[in-house]
Formats: sequence, C-alpha cells, structure tokens
Amino acid sequence: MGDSRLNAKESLMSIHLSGCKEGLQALQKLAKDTCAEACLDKIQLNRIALALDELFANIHAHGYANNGGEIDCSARWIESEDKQCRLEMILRDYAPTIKDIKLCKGVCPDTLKEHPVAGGLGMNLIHATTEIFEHSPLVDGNQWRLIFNVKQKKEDK
Amino acid sequence: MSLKIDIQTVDDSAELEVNGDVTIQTSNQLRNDLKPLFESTLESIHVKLAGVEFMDSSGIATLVEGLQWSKRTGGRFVLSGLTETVRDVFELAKLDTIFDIQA
Repeated sequence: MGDSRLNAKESLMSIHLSGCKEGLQALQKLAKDTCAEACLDKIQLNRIALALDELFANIHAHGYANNGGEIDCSARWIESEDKQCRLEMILRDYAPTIKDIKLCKGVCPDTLKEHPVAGGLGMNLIHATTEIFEHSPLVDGNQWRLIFNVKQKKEDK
Repeated sequence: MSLKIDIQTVDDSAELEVNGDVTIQTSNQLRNDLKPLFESTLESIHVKLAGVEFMDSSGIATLVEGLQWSKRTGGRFVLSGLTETVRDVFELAKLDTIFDIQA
C-alpha cells in the first residue's frame, strides 16, 4: 500500500470509534498520545489534530449522514530513506464506498474573495496539513491514509 | 469544550470576544451570536480571537459568513488577536489575505 520508500517502524496503537463527539475526542487523544514523546511543536500538533478533526467530521457528516457509525483508526511512526520522521494514520469507515474521491474536492480558496462560500474548506485543510492523503475504496467502506512529515523540535536540556 | 462569547455593541459597531475552541461542536454557538448582527444595520463587526487556540473548517466557515455580510452590506468585518495556531490554519486555507486581519 502506498509509497514503497516508507517502511513501518513501529505500530503504536489502534482504536475503534463510534459516534461523533466522543469519537472525535478519542481520535484526538490517539493523536496526542502518539505525539506525546515526539517533541513536536505547537503548530505541528495542531495540524495533526486539525486534519483528523476534518476527516472525522467528513466521515460522520457525509459518510454516515450524522447518524453515527464505526471508524477504526491506527497510528504509527514510519521511517523513510531520507530519515525524515513521518506519522502515518489510517482511518477506516464502513460508510458507503466513495468511488471517485475527486468528487469530494473542496472549495477553491482563490475564488473566496469574490464569492465567499461557507463550506468545502475541510478537504483543503486535510490536503494542506498532510504530505500524503490517500483514499482507498473498499468493498464495505473506505480507507483513508494520512502521512504527516514532522520535524522534532530540540529538547530543552 | 464550550465556547464563551462576549458581545459589546456601541453605536454602529459590534465587538465579539471569543474564548474556547471553535469546532464543529461549538461553531453553531458563534453562528447564532453572529446571525442577528448580520441582520442588523451595523457598520462594523470585530471578532477578537485571542482566546481561541483551535479552530476547524466549521469555525472558518462561520467567519466566511462575515465576509458574505461584508460583501452584501459594505460593512467592515474584522478579525484580530489570532493565536499562532489559528493564524496557521488561516494561512493553510489561504484565507489570511482574504479576511481583514488585525494584530
């Protein structure tokens, strides 16, 4: 699956979510716990939380029509040939399969000044915060793979 | 997390001071507070965001409604006090040059 340059280093944890509010909180806790010892800066932590928030909200609203549904999530650190540290998060839902992810494109920011619309920003933010954002249609749902290229800040001695 | 919003209206201007995370769970509260302002005859609306550390696209979408109000009425819709993380979200969405953002 995905980029062959990336090798699994360590599987951190996986969780099973349902519902909206509690699920989102659990998902963000997963991200926070995964990043806890990575010494990431505030901006990077916020970007990871934001991408998960947006993807979860989209699955909940569009995949499950706000009725709740199951989401599996896993996170792990992966190492690449360039020695950059990357966080991979995979979400799997059991919502109706999306055949063509291109239909889920967000609003174009360039047109907002003349034609401000209050919607469609979530997908843009997911793309902007991730190095890789992939969707795989499954027989009984969808798989979403997010790769974050993170830079560790120097620890205070 | 709940959102705390203080609103002060003086003459033709309104100021909203927002504290808390603006997310899909709380953005309706901000929308509900802004809606009557958008339907009034105000000339300017100033949203102070120094107390907001996290904002997602639903929060931004709510503020985009301020852009729509500004475009429709000619009123001034101003954001200020963006924290480092919220400013980063505006930059990621390429909205930092579209909104009237003050320090």
